[in-house]
Amino acid sequence: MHKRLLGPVVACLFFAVFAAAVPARADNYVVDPIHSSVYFKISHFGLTHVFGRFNEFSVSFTIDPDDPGKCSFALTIKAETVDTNNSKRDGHLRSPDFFNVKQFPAIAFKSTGVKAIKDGYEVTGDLTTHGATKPVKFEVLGGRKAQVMGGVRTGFTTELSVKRSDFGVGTEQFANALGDEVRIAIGFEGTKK
Amino acid sequence: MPDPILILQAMAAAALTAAAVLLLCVWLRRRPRAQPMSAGSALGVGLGFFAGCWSLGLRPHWPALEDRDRLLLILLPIVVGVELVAVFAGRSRWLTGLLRLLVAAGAAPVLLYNTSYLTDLAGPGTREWTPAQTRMNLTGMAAALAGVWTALTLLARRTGLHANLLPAAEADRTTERSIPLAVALVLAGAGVTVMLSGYASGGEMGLPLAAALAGVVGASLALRKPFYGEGALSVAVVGLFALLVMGRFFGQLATGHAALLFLGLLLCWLPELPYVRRLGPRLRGFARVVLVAVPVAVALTLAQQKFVEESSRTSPGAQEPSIQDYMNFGK
Repeated sequence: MHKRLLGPVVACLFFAVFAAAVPARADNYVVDPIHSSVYFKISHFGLTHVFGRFNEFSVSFTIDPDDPGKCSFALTIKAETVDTNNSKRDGHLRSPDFFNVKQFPAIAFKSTGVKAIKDGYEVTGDLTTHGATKPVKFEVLGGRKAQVMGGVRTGFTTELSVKRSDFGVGTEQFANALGDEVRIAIGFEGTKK
Repeated sequence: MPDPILILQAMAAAALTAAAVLLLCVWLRRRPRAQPMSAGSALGVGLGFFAGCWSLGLRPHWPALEDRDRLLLILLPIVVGVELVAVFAGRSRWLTGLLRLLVAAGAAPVLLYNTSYLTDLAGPGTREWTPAQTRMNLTGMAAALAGVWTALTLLARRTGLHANLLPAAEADRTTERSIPLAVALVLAGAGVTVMLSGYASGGEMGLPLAAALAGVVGASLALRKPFYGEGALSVAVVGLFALLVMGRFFGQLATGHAALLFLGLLLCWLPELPYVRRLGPRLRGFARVVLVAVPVAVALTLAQQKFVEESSRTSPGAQEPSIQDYMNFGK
């Protein structure tokens, strides 16, 4: 009898020890483009801000609630999908005066470090635009999970500020008309894979 | 919106630099007459163009990652170098022809280097042109440049031969001044057309180039000597080609407008047709400039209309998600 029980008990113990030794698996998310957006705004002659967005982009992110260091965020924007609701201005933004989309078709971000903060994460990483790569740091807020639309979902929102002169976007001639600072707002929602 | 005062300053800088370089070359070496003026005209247009762009704030960066940088730091020095070789190669016209052909073949690939047209920048299979399209487009552009360049060079030699009381071997190296003036007019028109086509800084480059060309022609007038300007003409024609390629492939310049401007230069040949060539050289020169002004005016008008039309239109790329997108997501 005792011998008969020994096998399952050892197996349970082994499983319990093994399970404790393996950390919780990080969750990968596939982003829902319908509920995600990349917007920006820039000062025009210091009078007001002009708003624009990018219509095509992809985001991938991994969340490990137990170890924020294992979280990661990556964003790739198709630069030619810039949209400021004016066809001529969008064409100009695509030209080498600004994004030069035929030479630099993608705007990309890849995180290099993630730290947990209240209500979200502090993300550092490299932003590549117009052929120049610069480190940036910003906070992504959110991360609440919900079982909706047929899966486990989570989402984040962030705002960051970059200087277009750091990336060589916009020739000197536009210095008076356009502010150097570009405020970017990104919201993304994803379903757990 | 480009600053007109800044553009005028850049044009003045380009014209003065070009004229100064030509006068300096002629002053440094007075005999034989043709070589220093030919070299000075090519060098003058090249340096004048560079100075004008610098004055506009369009300073090239190395490595030359963008089209403007590649024009100023690679293509322009190469074409000026080829024209200097042509000056000192003397009668070895086959060498000049060969080098110019190489420039014609290489100009578009240099300008389009590492762009989404030729390279898979966003992952495998993302380049816009298939290998067959690449061959066809690059060959077509090279043929257009070589054709117009050769046609204008032959015209310059022909008119020089007729207009000067010089020995034939020297006279056919002179250039009738209306030809570079016609090219300068097209350059200025092309510059504004490219600006209207959504590439302001690229279009602006046409204006200092036009001014530099006009500058060497003006300086040659001050010298009261025949104008040995084949080199200047060559630099300007390659510059015009580059400007139109940049406007077409990096801006929104329509192919038809670009072709109209570039091939319109061939109208310079019309006054050489039978009957018309009986007119005096000055009248023919005037006719050349007027004829070339016609396609420039047409291209400018069309580009202006397109600009006004597109300025009032909302972005066509803004595709809102449909109700189906909402309903189907997550299923």
